[in-house]
Amino acid sequence: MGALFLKECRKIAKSLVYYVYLVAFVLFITGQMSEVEWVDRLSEPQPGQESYGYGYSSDERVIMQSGLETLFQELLSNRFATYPFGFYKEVTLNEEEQEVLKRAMQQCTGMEFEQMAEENVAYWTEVYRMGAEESAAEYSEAEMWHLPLRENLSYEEFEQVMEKAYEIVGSGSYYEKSSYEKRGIAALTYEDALEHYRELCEEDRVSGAQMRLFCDYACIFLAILPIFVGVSACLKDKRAKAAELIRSRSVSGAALIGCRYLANVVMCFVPVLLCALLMQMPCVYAAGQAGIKADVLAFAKYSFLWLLPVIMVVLGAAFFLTEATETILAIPVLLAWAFGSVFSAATLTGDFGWKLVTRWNTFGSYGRYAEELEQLYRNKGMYMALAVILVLLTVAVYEKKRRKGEMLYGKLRKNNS
Amino acid sequence: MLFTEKEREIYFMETEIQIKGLCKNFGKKQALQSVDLTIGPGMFGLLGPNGAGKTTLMRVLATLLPKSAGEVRVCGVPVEHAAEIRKMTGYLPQDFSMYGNMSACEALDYLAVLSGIPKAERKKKVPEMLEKVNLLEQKNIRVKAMSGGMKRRLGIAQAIIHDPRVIIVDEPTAGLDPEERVRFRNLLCEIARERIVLLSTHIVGDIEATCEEIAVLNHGEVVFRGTVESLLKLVENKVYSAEVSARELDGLKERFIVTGILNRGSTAAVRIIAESMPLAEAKSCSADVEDAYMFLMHSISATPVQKGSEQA
Repeated sequence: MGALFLKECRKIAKSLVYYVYLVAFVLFITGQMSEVEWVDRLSEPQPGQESYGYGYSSDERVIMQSGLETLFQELLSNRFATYPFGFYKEVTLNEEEQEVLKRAMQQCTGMEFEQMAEENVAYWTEVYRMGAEESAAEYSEAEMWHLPLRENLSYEEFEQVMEKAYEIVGSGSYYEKSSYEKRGIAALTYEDALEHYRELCEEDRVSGAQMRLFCDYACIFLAILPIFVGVSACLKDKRAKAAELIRSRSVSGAALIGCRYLANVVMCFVPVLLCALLMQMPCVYAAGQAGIKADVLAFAKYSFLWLLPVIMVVLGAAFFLTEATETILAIPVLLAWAFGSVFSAATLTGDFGWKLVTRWNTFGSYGRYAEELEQLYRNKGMYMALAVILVLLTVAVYEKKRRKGEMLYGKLRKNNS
Repeated sequence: MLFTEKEREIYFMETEIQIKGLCKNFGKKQALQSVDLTIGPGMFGLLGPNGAGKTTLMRVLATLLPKSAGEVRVCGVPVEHAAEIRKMTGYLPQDFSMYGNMSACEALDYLAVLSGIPKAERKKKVPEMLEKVNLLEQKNIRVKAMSGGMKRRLGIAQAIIHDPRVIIVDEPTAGLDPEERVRFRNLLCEIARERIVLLSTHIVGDIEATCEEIAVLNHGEVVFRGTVESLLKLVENKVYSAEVSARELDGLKERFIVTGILNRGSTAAVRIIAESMPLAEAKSCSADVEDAYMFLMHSISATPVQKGSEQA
């Protein structure tokens, strides 16, 4: 088994597709993980700073503001983004439905919907008049237009409005309780910023935060790139016209497919691990300079938890589909799955669910990550189990073809006797 | 590997392929119809036209195709026990090929790993086998750069590296130049001293030069089973040669089986198979396997197969 595994690794190392994988991954990841000003990132917040940045908040007022502003914007354009089964679907409401939601918004703000729309338009007209949309960024927080909420608006009232919106727009929309409660974005206070800094130093030990960000980008590429490596590995026998010869050897299907799969997983994962280590090094150094003891093993912890299951399941699916069909069908199918997962993300931070591509496009936010960790474990555990099932199915398909001399779907081998 | 008579007896006790009533269907098409064969140690030739069912039979024996009916035992093991059969058989498929970017040495070593040969043994056996097939000097040449003959030799090396008791060789000489073909046939004869070598071909010359025992397949049926000598007996005193004018050729071909024509301007030297003297000027000559094969195939296509003592 060991000898076969090493031979399979060597076979992969000689394949052009693997080098394309390596180059593409390194280019993508270095392109995304741009240079970081570690001094700024690791400096402790001081009282009286002009800004402490933005962050997710669990403050009810903030959640209400974000939730109603999202409803207002989507209602204004009558384009509601939903992600049923993880895939993007745009929902348009009829006039009656729109009217129901407009009335609900009126109750929350005490203003006619048309009046809100006029104020919003006037704000953006002013922004455009100033030259370009970028100038909006120069507006201070006080100048930004916000939906005016009623002073005495209770959270219960807000929840009822969200529930109504959820009923009308449908599942997978922003208006699910689990969704809107995690998306309240607000400017951080000094205390918030200090707490974030403490989490960064004590919980994440800096490198943890950096590795989550690395995993966020790497996960996207690893949902796509190993497809090609897996399909190429499975079609190699057929392309070399060696399939029948190999099937006639005494090696068991489980040993052959198992070793091939394992070799592919290892060969895809090792460069990722090395990249993670390299990307972690400046972070560990900068933390050391700032007097913070970084977690030097964060690269391995996050890569194994976050990225290995993705590589495993993508390769497992590529193996299964390719072995079953002896075609490149796995490529369009898995690309659709990967892109669907990427584009279906309603948020770029957390909300892992059962998504193949799990995102964490932010540096830090450990508190929120800790809250969602269990969901992440479930997600990764499920994909690892699925990968094992797919490999077992691949073995079954291989053995069936080996004994029956036919494809999975029953097509007879060409009888050229 | 030289055996004493007693060792030979023990070793070959079960070295036999038994096929009883073997049928193989592909949908409605019957590729093999009630095939009965017993194949002992040594070279065994399987002859037949394209599409006769030779490759199907070989695939069934190599556990690459399931049989539809009948019983097949390889060295006493039912063919359904695929894992055991694969350990004791070496298979050289019709169009042997391996990963193009592997060298001869790497390819052989990889296939040896797939046969479960431990590292120490592989280290010894890989160069040994390459030497046996005269590829040791070219051990680093990549498979994609190999000639047809070199590939076949590598093919035979991989088929014997795990020391199988049965070697199944499907059309191994097709596409080889005459010199390579002779070299390859000799190699097969060498390795057949110790085991069963089942050679399938439609090239009669290969059978004549290497096999004692043969079977002829046609449309999935065994139409002859016996020794080369008994096949030759079918055409005993039936082969003639004659010098005829070119104009007579068409008529001759209609009346007799013509197995050879050598044009000499307005005349032609012909080789004819006939029950009695076909022409006054014809001379009786010694028959070869090709004549016998042609006679056999012609007679079964002309009349229903006569099943006699030698004809299956």
